[in-house]
Amino acid sequence: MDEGRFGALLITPTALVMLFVLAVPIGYAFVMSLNRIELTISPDWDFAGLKNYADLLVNKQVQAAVPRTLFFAALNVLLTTGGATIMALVLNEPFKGRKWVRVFILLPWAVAPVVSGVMWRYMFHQSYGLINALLRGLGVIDKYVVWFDDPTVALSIASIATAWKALPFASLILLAAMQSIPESLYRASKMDGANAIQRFWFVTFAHIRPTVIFVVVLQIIASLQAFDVIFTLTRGGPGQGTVVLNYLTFVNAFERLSLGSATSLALLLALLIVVLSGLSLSLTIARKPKA
Amino acid sequence: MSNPMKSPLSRRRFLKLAGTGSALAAVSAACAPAAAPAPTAAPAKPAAPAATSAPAVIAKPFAGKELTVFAGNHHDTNVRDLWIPLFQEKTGAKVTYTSIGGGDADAKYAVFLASQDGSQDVLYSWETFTAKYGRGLFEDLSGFKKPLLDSLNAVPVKALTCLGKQYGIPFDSNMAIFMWNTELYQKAGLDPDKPPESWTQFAEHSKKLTKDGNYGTLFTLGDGNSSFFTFLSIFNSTGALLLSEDQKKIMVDTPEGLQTMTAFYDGVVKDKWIDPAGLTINSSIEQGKVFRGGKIGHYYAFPNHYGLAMDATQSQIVGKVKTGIIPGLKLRSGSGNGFEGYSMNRFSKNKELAMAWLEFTVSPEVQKLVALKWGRAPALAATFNDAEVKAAAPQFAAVAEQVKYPAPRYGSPFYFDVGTAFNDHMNKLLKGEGTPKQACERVQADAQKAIDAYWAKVK
Repeated sequence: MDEGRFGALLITPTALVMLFVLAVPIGYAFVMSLNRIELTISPDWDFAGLKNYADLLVNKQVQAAVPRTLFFAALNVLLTTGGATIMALVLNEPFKGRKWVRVFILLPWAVAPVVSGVMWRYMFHQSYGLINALLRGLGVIDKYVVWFDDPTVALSIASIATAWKALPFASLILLAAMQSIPESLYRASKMDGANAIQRFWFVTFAHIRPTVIFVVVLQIIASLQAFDVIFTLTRGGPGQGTVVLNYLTFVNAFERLSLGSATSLALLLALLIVVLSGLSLSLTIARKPKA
Repeated sequence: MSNPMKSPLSRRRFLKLAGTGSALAAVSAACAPAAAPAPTAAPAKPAAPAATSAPAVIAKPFAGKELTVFAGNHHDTNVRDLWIPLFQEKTGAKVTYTSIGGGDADAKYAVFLASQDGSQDVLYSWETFTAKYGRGLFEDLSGFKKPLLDSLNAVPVKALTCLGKQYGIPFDSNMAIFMWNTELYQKAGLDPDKPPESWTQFAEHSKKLTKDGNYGTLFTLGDGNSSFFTFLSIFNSTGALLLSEDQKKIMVDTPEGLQTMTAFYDGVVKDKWIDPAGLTINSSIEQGKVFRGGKIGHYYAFPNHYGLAMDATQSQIVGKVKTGIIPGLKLRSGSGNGFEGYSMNRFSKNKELAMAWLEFTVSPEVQKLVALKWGRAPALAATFNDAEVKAAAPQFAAVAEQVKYPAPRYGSPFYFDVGTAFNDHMNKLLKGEGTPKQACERVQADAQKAIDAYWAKVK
C-alpha cells in the first residue's frame, strides 16, 4: 500500500465520525431551513424553498443586528488582540514570579461564560455594582449610572467581558510565538541602532504576525457566535439594542418557535464566519515569503 | 437542570426491583385475556369532589405507577419538597421531579414540542406558556371537573385558557398588589396608614418620596416581557381592553393607551420619580431587592414579596412594610398577573395520573401550603377564608380585594413580538425620544404587524 492510501485509511475513522457529528446535523439544518416550521401553529414542515433566506435578507431585525454584530466583533477583536499582545510582551520579559503570573492570568479563561456574564452584570449593576461604587467613592459621579441603558455602552461592556475571558488564551498563544523568536535577531537589531518600537515592529511583530492573524480569526469566530454573554448580560436590551445575529437566531428558534427561519439565519451566520475567517487567513498566505 | 429526588434504594436494588417488576408485568400482560384493560388504563375512578374538598386520590389507585413533573426551579422548595411527598403518600405513585431555571423553561418546551417528547407528564405553566404551547404541547383540559374548576378564583382560571380552551390549571392567584415602606412614608411626611388610591395620588406621593438618592418607585422595563407586563399593570386600571377576544387586534393607540403611556412618561422623563434603572431590570425579583434595600418608597409587588420583606436575612425594612391594592388610573385599581399552574403534556402516555396531579395541586391541603409555605395567594377561593391563612398572611387581604379588578396578561402565541414592540418604543420614549402619542402609534403599528403576520401564517 502506498503512503497516500495508507494515510487515507488512517483518517477514515475520524472522517466518518466528523461526517456523522458535523455533516449530518448541518445537512439536517439545511433541510430545515428550506421549510416553514412554525411550532406555535403546527409541528408540520411545509416546503418553502429559499423563502426563509429571502425573508431574512429584507428582515429589519436582521438588518439592524448586522452592524451591531460587526461592532461587537470589531471591538472584541481589537481588545483581545491588542490586550493579548501587550500581555504576552510583559510575560515574555524576565521578572520575579513570572511563572505564577502566567498561571494566574489563566483564571478568566477558566470561568464559565455564563458565570462571567453574570459577574460582569453585577459589576455594572446600577444600584449594587462595584463600578458605580468605585466611581462614587472616587467622586467621579454623584449619582449612580445606569450602564446598560445605552445600547452602545451595553454592547461595549459585553465586548469587554468577552475580551476579558478570551485574553489569557490569546496571550499564551502569542507568548509561545514570541518565545520562538531567536534572541540573536534582537541583538542584531540593537547593534543596528533599532529602538524598542522598531524592535517590536520589525522583529517581534514581523515574526508573530501569522499567530496574530490566527488569534484574530479565532476572535472573529467567537464574536460572531456570541450568545451567552448577551443572554446573561443584557438579554438583547435595552430595547433591541444588543441583539446580535446569533442572539436573534436564539430568539427565532426559542421565543418565536420559527425553526425554519432560525436555521436559515444560523447557516447564513456560519457562512459569514467562513467568509470572514477565510479572508483573514488569506492575508497570512498572501504575505508569506516565497520560497 | 436538576433531578434532585433522592431514592432510598441503592441503584443495584432499584434496578433489581425494576427488572423484577417489568418481568412480572410482562408475564401478567401475556397471561391476561386479550380484551382485558391494560393495568395503566383504568385506576379506580375517584368520586366527584365537593367544591372545596380534596380530590379523591386517597385510595392509592396509582400504586406502582410513575409520574414525571417538570417545573421551574423556583418550585423546588415547595413542589419538590412539600407537595410531591404528599402526592406520593396519597396516590402510591412515584414522582420524578425535574426542574430548570424559570427563564430557560421556554426553550426546553420548544424542544419538547419539536420532538413531540412525552417523557414529562406535567409541565409547569403560566399565561404565556398556555397561549404559546397550548396548540402544540399542552392537552386541552376543558373537560376538567367543573365543580373543582368553579371552586377556584375565576381570574387565574381564565388566564390559563387560550381561545376558549383550558390549557392549564392554576395553583395560585399570584397578582401584583401594592406595597409600601412605612418608614420612608413617614420621612416624606406621608401618612403610613394612607396609601394612594389613584394614580394622581400615587404620583404625588412618589414625588415626595424621591429624595436622598431614593426614588418614589421602580417598574421593570428591561425586556419585552417586563415592559409589556408593566404597561398592562397600569393600563388594566383604565378598564379598557388591550387585545380583542379573538386575539387579532391590539388597541394601544387609544385614549386609555395614551393615558398609560403619558403616566410613564411623566414619572420617568418629566417629573423623574420613577427610577430609570428600571429600564434595564427585567425581573420582579430584582425589583423586590431594590425595595427591600430601602431604596424606593412603594411599588407594584407580587404578594410573596411581603414575606421576603419581612425576612431579616433578606431585607433591611423588616416591620416597615404594608400592603394594599394598586392605585388605578381610571378605575380604583387594576393589576397584572403572574398566575402559575400546571399543564398536561399532550404527548404523555400517563394522562390519568397527570390529571390526578392537576387535581391534587388545587386540593385544600396543597392550597394551604401555597399560602402558608410559599407565600403566594392561593387559587382556591375558600383558602382565603382559612383562619390560619388569614392570621399568617395579612397580604392576602389585599389580594382578595385586588382580584376584583382587571388583571389580564393577554398571553398569546405572538406575545414575544408584542412585548418587543412595547419594549422598543417605551424604551425610546422614556429616554426622551418622541412623545407618548408617537410611542402609542409606533407600538400599535409594530405590534399589529406582528399579530397580522402570525395570523397570516395560520391556515
